[in-house]
Amino acid sequence: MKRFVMIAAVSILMLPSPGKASTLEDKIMKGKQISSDNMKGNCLACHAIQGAEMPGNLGPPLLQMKLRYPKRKVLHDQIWDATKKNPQSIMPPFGKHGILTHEEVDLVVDYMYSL
Amino acid sequence: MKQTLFKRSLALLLVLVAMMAARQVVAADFQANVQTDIKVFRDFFAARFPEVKFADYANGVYAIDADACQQWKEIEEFPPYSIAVEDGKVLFEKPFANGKTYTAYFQNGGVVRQNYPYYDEKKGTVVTLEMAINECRVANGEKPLEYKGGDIAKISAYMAFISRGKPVDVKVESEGAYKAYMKGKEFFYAKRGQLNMSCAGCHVKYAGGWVRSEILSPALGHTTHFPVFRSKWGEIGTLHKRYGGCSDNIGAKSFAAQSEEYRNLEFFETVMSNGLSFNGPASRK
Amino acid sequence: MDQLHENKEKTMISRILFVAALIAVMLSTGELSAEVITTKVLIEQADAARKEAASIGYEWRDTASLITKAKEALANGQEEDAQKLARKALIEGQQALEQGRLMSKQWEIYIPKS
Repeated sequence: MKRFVMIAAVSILMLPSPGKASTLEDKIMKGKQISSDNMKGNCLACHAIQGAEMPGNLGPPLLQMKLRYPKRKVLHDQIWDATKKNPQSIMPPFGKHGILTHEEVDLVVDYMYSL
Repeated sequence: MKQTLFKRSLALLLVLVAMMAARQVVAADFQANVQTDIKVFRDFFAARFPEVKFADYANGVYAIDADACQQWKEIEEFPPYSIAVEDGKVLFEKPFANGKTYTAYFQNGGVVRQNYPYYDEKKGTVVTLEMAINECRVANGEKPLEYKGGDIAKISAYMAFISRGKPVDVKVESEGAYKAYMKGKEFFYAKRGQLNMSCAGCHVKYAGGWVRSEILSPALGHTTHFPVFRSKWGEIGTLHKRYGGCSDNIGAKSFAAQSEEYRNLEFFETVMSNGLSFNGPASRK
Repeated sequence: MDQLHENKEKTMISRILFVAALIAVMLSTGELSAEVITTKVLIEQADAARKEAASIGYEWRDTASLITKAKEALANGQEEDAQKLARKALIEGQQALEQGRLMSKQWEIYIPKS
């Protein structure tokens, strides 16, 4: 009986937990969706991303983002409100102006870090 | 007694002369300020696009991009706005119910594009060509036309067409005119909307840049070629229709066509294009 | 004297009990729920901010329709949706007003230099 209970307990613990936070791959995919959505990030309007068609060129190309923004918070803040660093910036304040939530900006950062 | 009266009258006269002189100085200030603004504006684009001839700015993106220019030249062989011009001629020449026509209001057979926009001292506001067309209609017992497209755009297209080549020379010669000019200037440079963008952001600072596959047109020459047959609209439309669309695009609530805000903006933009020639109507993407 | 006091007390108690019952009924039917009150306040604040931004020419495109949708959701008993929409509208109204105030003061710094 004890053995049975032990085996059952171990089997249950080995099951993947339903409803837990998604994997990094999921996050990157969600971040990419938000970035491509022209009602949300619409990043390609102004930034080139490798492999994307007909990108704009008003902003710098988005590559080597982990190298350029090693601190996650700095990139998050830049997307949240680019005018804080540069008041002249044409980049919309995606967070401050209510276009993206903090969660969405986090997912975009996850996607950026994959570029 | 006589001497005191004489002294007082002289003093009053001197004060009046001083006031007049002051007004002249202030008026000269307006004009000097506006001239400075025009020079700064032109110099910016001359530095950004050194190969582009000044007169060519009236052609917008087609002046600054060779590929787009080639495509546009091909379109110009059978201009999509020509039907609107023909329709506009018919509308312009058709008498009102009272027997009069637009020529009773507009001189030179309607070759008056170059007179608009202007600051009307009596009305205390900027008057545009489309506004004047409706004023003419209402003065003759007709209903005013909708301002974004349709008949008013066709009439405006015809009048622009017959006025082609006339110089852009908008005057800012009074305090009222300068106030309207400055309101237009503020509108042009201020960021607005959820996207926090300004006219100047796209059409000055990033003029010539790409937004996806579209080139941002330079603001110099912006208003010379309206109304336009825009492929996106599939028909002829007015400058204020375009202003409204731009406002929408950046997440700002658009103003009504021919609102004071858009008339002041048109006033400022046209002053910045002083020295170019009117070349409407035009075709655009 | 005692009788008078006793009667007054009885009336007081019955009154208090009546009001308590009324509140209980209203709470149970959702008429006075904290959620609803919060959403209504948010909607009012959002509209006030939107109007003030409009008065200086800086109203945003979607704020009015967000407020309308919030009101509709509230009327349909969709309290969670209503509150989400109301919060979004409030952020928009406040940010538009802040933007307008800033621009009115210092639009000239945004004139591109080169």
